[in-house]
Amino acid sequence: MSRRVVVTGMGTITPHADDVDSLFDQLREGVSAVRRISLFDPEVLPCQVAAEVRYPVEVPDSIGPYDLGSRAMRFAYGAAERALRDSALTVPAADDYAQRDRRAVQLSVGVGSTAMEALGATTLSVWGNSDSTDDRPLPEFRRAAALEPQSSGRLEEWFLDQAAPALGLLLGAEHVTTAASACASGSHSLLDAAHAIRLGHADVVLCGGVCTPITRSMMPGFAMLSALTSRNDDPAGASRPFDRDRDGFIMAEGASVLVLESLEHAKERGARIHAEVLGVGIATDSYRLTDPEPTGRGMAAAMRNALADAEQNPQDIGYVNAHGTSTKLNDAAETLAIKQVFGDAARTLPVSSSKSMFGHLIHAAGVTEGIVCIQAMKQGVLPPTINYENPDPDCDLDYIPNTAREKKVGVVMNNSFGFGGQNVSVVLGAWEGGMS
Amino acid sequence: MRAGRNIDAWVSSYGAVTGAGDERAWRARWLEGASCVRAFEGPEEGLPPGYGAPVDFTAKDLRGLPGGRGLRPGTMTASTFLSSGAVGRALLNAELLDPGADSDELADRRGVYIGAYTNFPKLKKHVKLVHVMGNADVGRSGHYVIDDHRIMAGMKGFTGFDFLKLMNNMPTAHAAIQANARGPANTLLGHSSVGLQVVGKAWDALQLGMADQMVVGASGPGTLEGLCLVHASQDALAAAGQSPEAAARPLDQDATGLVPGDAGAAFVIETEQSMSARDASPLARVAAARDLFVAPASARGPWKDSTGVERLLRATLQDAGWEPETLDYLVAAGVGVPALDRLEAEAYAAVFGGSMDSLSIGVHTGVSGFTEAAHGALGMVAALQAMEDGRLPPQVNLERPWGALSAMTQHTSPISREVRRALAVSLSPEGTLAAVALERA
Repeated sequence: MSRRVVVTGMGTITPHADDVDSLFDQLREGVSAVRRISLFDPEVLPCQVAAEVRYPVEVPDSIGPYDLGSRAMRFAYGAAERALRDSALTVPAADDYAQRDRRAVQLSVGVGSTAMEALGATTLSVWGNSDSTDDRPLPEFRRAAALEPQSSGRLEEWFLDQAAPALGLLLGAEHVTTAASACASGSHSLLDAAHAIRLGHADVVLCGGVCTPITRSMMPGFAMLSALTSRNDDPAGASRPFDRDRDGFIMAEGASVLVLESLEHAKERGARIHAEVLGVGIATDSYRLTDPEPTGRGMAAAMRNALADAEQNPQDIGYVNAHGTSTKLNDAAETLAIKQVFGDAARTLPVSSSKSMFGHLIHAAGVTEGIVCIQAMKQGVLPPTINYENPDPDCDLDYIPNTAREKKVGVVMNNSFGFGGQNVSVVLGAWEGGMS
Repeated sequence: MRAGRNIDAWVSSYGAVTGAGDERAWRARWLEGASCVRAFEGPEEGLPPGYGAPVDFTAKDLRGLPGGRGLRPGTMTASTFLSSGAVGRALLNAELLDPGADSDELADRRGVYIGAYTNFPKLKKHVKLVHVMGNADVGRSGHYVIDDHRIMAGMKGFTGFDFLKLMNNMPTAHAAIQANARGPANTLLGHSSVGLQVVGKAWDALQLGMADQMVVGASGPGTLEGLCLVHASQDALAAAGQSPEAAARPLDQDATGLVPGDAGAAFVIETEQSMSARDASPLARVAAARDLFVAPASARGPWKDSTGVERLLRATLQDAGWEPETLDYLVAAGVGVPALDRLEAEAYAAVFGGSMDSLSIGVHTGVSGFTEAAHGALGMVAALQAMEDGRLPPQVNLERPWGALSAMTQHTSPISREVRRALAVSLSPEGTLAAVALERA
């Protein structure tokens, strides 16, 4: 008999809000968080719009040896702190190894807050001075004596493997894993967390993702991959998953964290349960680095695996929160894959993409959208796909266009598909205080 | 959710790419008692600490390995290149010569986990990016101001693949294509311990019935400029000006710090049924795979004491069902940073106590340096090789072991010993520790 896994805490730092209720309120109203970039002047960039976190995220300066000063560390810590508060878990004593051994952190991370600019600037500070002319030869390498403390600090921002250990201290956990599977990362962290509980490795796992990709180099870099929208004159209308005129995704930043527990552990401490993780599925395209396999084979396999794991039939699913990036290839392939898995029922299955409103949170997307799924079950409201104006013959499902729909659903699916052909699907069940 | 199945996980193959060459060349070098650390040359000449163990593995070498023809080196960082090299070696040794031709059923049941510290790029191009975008006096003030209107000028010369290849999951994405793996896949990020954590994840995937065959590994491009600079800023590197061959001194009291090395190491881990289906033989059973997180005492310091390492070792032995005195061979982490090595030595003394005299401890850092995320995985390669050939390579540059290890065998030439039970240990400075227990098939 497998151990049942439940969600007992949710925390989020998203472009819309830093609490799950406010986030869902805005999604229900179809509010877009996409604006012109304010973190720097984007005037010369092909894509000048994104979904930024525009409010202060207050966290301590550090926890243990880990500095929380960078944008990514603040977001990760902020989301985790909110999830823990929501779960009402207490931190075991430092020498309570028995309890600490039963706790784990599973975090997915994206690039650092200042990413390549920091990398290049730091290296320049080591290599030597320069001016800003592009035809001047690169400065000669200077020896390590030139390393300045501030420079090394910047370089370390690249290494986000410190985020999970920081959350390990916050939770009082003795097991910490940092992982990345691109845009599937968040759901992947949930999958690994559920497995750790199911196999008896842990009773409590903090899982989630953080990403801060709105940087001077990542924005044009992803534009070069033809992945981003160029609708700079209409930020709120730029993310349009499944619409015929979609032209790429919106970069977004933030973090989301869930507390997963074994059902026994949650009941024993009288925890409030938000939902149950009924099943998880994973599959890899093994096809190309950027494009999804065009028939949707890997995506369909992930969904089928999740359904089998959950011991649910396709007709049991009341809502699918799609990966729905707003790129030509993803949305068409995902539509095909949903049809393969759900057959005729696909035509009437409510499917929507929250990315239409908060863009693509990359490593944080899966868990953020998992939170959206849980709120949809709790409130009996399915969030819409906004900016859906022109049907695409390749995307012919019920995408809950533009307006939220009141509907009570008990079992939902969340899809997350990443560059590199990494596909994860999660089946979540409503928690009614007893059996789901 | 379905329950896990109670099955054994078997290691059927391994492969490596190191500063000494492939896994066989690495073994031969170690058996000779020689180090492959050498002085940096060319553009890296001034890079701290001035020496290291870089690999000499080319795109042509990669293309000659199973699945290698389907890969494009232009989309790979040094980290991805090393993991793909190691995966190719492991596939070759497993006689999985053309995984792309395998049936859909086989591909669906094959997964990939790769450990990597970070998918760090070569810095020169990114230096230029900032050089062109920026306008400030960086060297003196440490403060750099970027002129946003010059961003696209700075991007000249970049392609989308320069950014795609930096995504942290790229080592795994490449390995999945290379091995034709359509099952579970993930990239674990961290220092040396992720090279052993992937083994635990593979075990989980087999137990859960998600796959029948897992290709797992890790990569560590330790001689990359960025990594050398980070370690230099942490005062973790060995002192400059030493003889390169004698500089990597793991578990030795005279060590001055870590010596960077490049490596990739990989394994095929599978169920008995999967091996039977292709007439393969197992090398060893994964008896236990454990990890443990202990925060360091400070941003630059090690843990306050050795108790975390001790708990890791005891838990791993307990999971394996082994008494400490039944262990034949322990491949130590031996990062080469004195403060870490001293605690590691203390932990061995505390856990193995009276059986220290009969326990053989090996450490490979003296041969090929500290190889970042690949370091733990390379230790597991060493354990498997000792099981295969019944030889324990000599200690390299280990002349004055930390006090607690003084009883340990000091040999400068290989000795013969049957190795049935072995433990590979990896300790990451940021706080993640891991161990894998292997039992010879």
